[in-house]
Amino acid sequence: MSESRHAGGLEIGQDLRFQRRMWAIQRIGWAVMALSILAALLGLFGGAGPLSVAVVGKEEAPISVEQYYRFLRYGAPTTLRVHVDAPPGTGGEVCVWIDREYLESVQVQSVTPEPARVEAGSGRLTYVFDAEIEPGQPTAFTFTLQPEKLGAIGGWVGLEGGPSVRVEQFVYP
Amino acid sequence: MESVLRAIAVYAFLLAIFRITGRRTMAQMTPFDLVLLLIVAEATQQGLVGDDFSVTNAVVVVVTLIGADILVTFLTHRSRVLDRWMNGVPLILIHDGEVIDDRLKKARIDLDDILQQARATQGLERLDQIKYAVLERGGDISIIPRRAG
Repeated sequence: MSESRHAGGLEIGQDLRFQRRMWAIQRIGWAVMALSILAALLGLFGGAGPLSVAVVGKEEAPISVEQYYRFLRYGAPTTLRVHVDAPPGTGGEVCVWIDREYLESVQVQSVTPEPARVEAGSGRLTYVFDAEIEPGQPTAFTFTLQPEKLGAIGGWVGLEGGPSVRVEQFVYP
Repeated sequence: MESVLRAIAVYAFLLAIFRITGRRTMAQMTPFDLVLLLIVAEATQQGLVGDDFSVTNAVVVVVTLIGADILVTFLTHRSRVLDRWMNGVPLILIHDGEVIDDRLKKARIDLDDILQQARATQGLERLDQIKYAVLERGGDISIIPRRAG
């Protein structure tokens, strides 16, 4: 009587086989929900969390990104902290550039500390900070960014006349 | 365009999640379930509307949501398979006076729920007065009493 319009004296569209399948799928659904919560706690769906917070480059290097988030959400601001430990350029200025590829996917909302000026170069924007850096006494600049593209984004962040590091991120809708 | 996609995504997500939760949860709604539902509404609202607070956006979102609902009911009317996936099938919990325990357990229904429904709708006093109890597709329990003979 797995599929009949009658069960006992009732005219009813009971279907036990289907019902069991439905229950099984619900159980799977619960498992998926539990896993999603776990994944969200780990930061897989954006925001903070051990799987999302990341570092590129070494701390002793002239430039590294000491904190950024791998998983972002569209429209939600995020931060990227650039760590600079290099002998200063001429005149106590530190010039950090971000390449165009990255700037096309995110909008820079603010930079802390505020740069003295921003220079547009070929394929990059250079943020010039007034900073006196002694070797071994590093400093950090925080960029507040808002993702403007979905999916995988990425780009280079570098020190003028120095090395650069690549940031890879994923933006959820 | 974005509003339509947002609305469709939220509609599909909510549809899926409410199907997964099972009907038990929503039919016998406790006061707390109501509060939960309000919070769910509040949480979805942000994703639904985004940062566009214009009337146009609200109109587009509402039209899309209701349109999606009409489309789903239209399709479930035409396809029996889809209808079952969307709305489930009824399930007999008490068959000719005999309580089918494993179905109660699987459907997360207590005997107390059935007895309560029997009192409320049929004015029955005891379990043995129930001939059939059916968990309907909407999640409510219907009771068919034994004919006094």
